[in-house]
Amino acid sequence: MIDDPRAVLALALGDDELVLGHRHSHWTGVAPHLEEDLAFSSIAQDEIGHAVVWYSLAAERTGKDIDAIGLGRPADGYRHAVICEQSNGDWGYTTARHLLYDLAEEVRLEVLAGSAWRQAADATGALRREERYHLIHARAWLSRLANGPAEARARLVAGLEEALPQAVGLFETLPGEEDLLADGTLPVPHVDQLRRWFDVVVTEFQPFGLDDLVDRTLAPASPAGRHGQHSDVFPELWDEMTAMYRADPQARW
Amino acid sequence: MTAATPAPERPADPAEGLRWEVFGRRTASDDWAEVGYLHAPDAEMALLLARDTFFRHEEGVDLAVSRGPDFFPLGQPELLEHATDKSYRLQRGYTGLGAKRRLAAARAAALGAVVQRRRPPDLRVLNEDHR
Amino acid sequence: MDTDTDTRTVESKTADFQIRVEAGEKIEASDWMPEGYRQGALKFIEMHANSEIMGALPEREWIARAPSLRRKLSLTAKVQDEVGHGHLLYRIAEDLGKPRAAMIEDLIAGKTKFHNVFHYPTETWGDVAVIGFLIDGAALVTQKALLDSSYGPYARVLKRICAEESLHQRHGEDLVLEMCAGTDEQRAMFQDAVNRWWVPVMHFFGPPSKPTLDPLLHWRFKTATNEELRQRFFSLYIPKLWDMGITVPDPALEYDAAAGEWAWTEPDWEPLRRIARGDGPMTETRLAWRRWIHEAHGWVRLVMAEPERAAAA
Repeated sequence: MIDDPRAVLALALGDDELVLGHRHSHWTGVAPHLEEDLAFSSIAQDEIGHAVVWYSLAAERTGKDIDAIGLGRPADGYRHAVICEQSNGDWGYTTARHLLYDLAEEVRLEVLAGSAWRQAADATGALRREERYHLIHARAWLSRLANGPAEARARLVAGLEEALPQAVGLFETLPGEEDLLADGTLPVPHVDQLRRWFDVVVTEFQPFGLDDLVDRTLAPASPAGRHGQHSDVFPELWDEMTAMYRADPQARW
Repeated sequence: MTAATPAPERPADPAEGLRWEVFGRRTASDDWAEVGYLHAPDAEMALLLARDTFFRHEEGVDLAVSRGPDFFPLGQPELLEHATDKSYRLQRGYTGLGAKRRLAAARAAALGAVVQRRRPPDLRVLNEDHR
Repeated sequence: MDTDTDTRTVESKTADFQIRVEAGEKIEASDWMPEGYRQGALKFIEMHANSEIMGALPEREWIARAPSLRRKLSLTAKVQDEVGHGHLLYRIAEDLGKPRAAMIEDLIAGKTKFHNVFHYPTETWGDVAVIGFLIDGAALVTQKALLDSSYGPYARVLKRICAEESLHQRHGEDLVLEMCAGTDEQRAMFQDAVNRWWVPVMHFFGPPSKPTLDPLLHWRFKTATNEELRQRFFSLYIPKLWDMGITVPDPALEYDAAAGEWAWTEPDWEPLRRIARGDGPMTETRLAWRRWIHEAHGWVRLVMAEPERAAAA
């Protein structure tokens, strides 16, 4: 049913941002430190704002509006990777996921900056500028937990052990990817982006003695999130996130 | 802005980390002005957290943190710029309220629902925008 | 005033202090102040800070459920601002002599207070609109009056807080206007929320007070009475509600031109007294949750208390 591979790409990218932004926003008001609450809330808002950017590209191709795209699809119509839908867990898992995700963003946005789909290439500029702060933030927490008290490092390691296998799903081959590669929309296939990401992650982890957590033989399961298949936590998230919109898609709020 | 009262020096709160004064520059040609303080374990974290503590709403183009004689500028003022639409959290995102008030009033009138009870005169004076 | 060499009696210093505040002078954190002023100011500002932190809890429930992407963003930003206000206010209170960590611990232990309106559940998006329009509106009326507070640090930080709060209030009005110009169901949802929140909003302003018995008014820390603030609130918000065809559940509420003020029905004050005793509908649920969060994050506080290790490497 992939009649528009570019729309699928935009949806996958947008859904990653929206679903992860939804989870990140859950820390607003209840984060471990008042000033950090403020910083992480801005990161959550950025991700949701980035979803809007990708959905705008999908909107141009499908004729639907942003809210119909973001909040109006059935649960199996969402194409985010399963790492995005996981509950926040503790600050160790949250930090692990935040770091692994934003490193994946760094890889894929750099690739898409060279896309033959001009609107997508243009969109990456603004997103990469905002992601700079996300990476500085994630790295600051990586080093403070990795070099911190014993419990902090233990919780970071536990978070990374859980998040690393989930994160490879961000590089699952997209439905219709062969068309995107053929016309230059996707300059580098996801399987190669995954290898780059492993390189980046190992480089980040080496100074902290965490690189032996990285299993380079991990490959994304497929069909998985990119095909609309999600874990058993997604139905509740989907219902909470979309119920008000779906109750009356024509209403203005 | 009046000069900030020097805060009494107090020992580090073990649960909170150290106290850092935060400075900002409204525009590139302004001098540093103190905007407040925050708690952070060290200068790097203080710089990281200062952005969203004091500069979420376009309050300035550069920031620095200070503790005692030490002064640390952010060094990357571009981190204070926003590249995607943040109008939802700025005054300019809410400029169309007059037209919306008229729509809501028209809807009420069509329903015959406008409440006809006594209200004070000179509403324009009282209904000034809060800011 | 050099407090180290000031050998006047407390009575004499208090009298001079009274003259200063009546003349409109601002008191700073390092000035001598009567102990009652210090404690009264600390308690008032601490309660304000507590209210921002506790107020975040009912509102943040709706970030996940917001009906549009733009409202998801704007509600996140609003709750973020409330946390930010808590941060700003705890630092002002801290300079009066109580560490921030102690204030947070007293709050979650139920030893200190937060405003009544944050002890209630939110049931629908209509509640989000009421909070954004009427409750933030009530808070803004109160806070604008405090811009003239004799306590300088509080008055100054309130400039930033009022600016952000006025944005919240416009956002709240935007939510209300969309609902009231919308479907019958949307109008009914908002009207239902107004009906449920009206008495808590009246409680927010407190009972008609006796100004001569209020030390904070005496010292110009507060500059308006409960009744002046409530009347101002009526004038700003009731005509707007009425123009949208929204009623409030007080049959007596109407402007009496001869008296120059709004007539209104005093509610039963017992629910407010129960909240003051820590027994509101959601008080214990929310405080228990905050205690759990505080406990669960203990290990992160240890991280934040230490400078970066191996920073020189």
